[in-house]
Amino acid sequence: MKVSVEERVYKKAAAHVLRYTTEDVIGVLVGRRGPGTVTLVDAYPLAHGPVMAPLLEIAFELIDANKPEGTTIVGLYEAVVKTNRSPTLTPSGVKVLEVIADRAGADAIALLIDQNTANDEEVITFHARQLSQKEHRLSEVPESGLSPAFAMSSLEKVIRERQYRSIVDFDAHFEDVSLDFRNPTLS
Amino acid sequence: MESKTKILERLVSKRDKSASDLKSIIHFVKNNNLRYPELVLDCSLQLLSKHSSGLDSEYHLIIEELVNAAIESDFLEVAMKGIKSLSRKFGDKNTKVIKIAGTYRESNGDENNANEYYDYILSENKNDLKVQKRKLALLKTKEDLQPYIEGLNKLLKDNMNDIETWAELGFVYLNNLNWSRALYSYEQVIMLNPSQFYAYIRAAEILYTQGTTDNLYQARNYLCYVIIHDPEITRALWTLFSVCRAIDRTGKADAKNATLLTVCKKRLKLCYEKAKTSTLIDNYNLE
Repeated sequence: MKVSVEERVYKKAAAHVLRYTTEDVIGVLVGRRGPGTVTLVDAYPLAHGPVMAPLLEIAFELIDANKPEGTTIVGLYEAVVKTNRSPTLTPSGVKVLEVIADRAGADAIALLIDQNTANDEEVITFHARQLSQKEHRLSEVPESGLSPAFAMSSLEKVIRERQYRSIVDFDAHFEDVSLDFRNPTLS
Repeated sequence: MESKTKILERLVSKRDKSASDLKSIIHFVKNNNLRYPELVLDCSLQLLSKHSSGLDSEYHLIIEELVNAAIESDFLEVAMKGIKSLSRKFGDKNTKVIKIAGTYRESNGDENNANEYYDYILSENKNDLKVQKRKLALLKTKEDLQPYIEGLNKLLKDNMNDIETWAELGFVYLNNLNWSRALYSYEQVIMLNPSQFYAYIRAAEILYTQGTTDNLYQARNYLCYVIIHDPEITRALWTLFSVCRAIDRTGKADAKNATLLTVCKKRLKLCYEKAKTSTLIDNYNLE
């Protein structure tokens, strides 16, 4: 499967990571499927902490009601807080991905996000995985269209202007419904 | 009632902030347990660079806020300068300075030194709960969380009424999908302080996830308790909506369920109208 990623996905996912640097974050990816390809079109930050079933259901339904036309929920992104743990999906992340795959009746995509410091600069890297809907097995994406250069150029403004401070995830939205989980300012 | 985020936005959006405005922002974030370390850092730096002469006795309090915010935002050089300033004022052996220095070491990945600092404080006062927790927190970064979980349980043996530790234990169990232990932990929080509404909501979420009709009804009870006390907690409303729908799907719904579902939908629509974000649920079936 080939995966390509639009700029707003990088921006929103990275903003979510930067806003909650001391917590694991998870978000939903929506995109368009073609024969052997998936284009990730938008990201909806979900939570900065454990994701529970009732609110996951509602979040999926609200995303379905608000996502761009012609797109479906195709996967998730997850970032685990900087620790000595090796970068991988959390048990909760795996469960959510399985739900997404079963819901879509198709393989689901996971973007794992690493945040590291290299030469005193923050470096955010994206890794793509896919979960097979039939076997629920996670593997590398054969042709990941992730472009590190494109990702970093997308994030420059997000970091420089501190746009990540205003990112809203569903955790925040459910506490205060005046906060827009679509994050239009980052689109 | 205006949300904390809106109040903070209002404080921050003021142009040409005075020293009093900057202090208000820092105090508001701290007193409401909000997490905006970069904002606190910005405000502290502005206070120290433009208004330091007027700070008097608050000068080192602001430095302390600056250091904590700098550590959390990973501006470790700034944090170190602040720690040196506190050290000059209060001395190297001051417990608060050592605690902050320990947190700095943790943030810098220097866990051995952090541990030594905490051990030093505990050798002077073994009952310092905050430092016991910080020392324990060093275990949270490891791949194997079992020692951390054991440490939390050990801490609770000596401090059975410590709500923060019960909540942290619940959180760790949740992250590891250990529902029954997570539920037990949150129910301890409820018993210790029945006004901790987030614990009721968490317990309800876990019960929903565990399934069974009995669990759904128990979840509904918890959520109704929260909404009776505060009908504008939208997280509780959404969770109750989800729970009532699930009860409906079991085919074993009691008479109250339909009423609660209707009340939930009306309340949610009102909340979104009040927040002026009804567009978010325009295409969502709340009928």
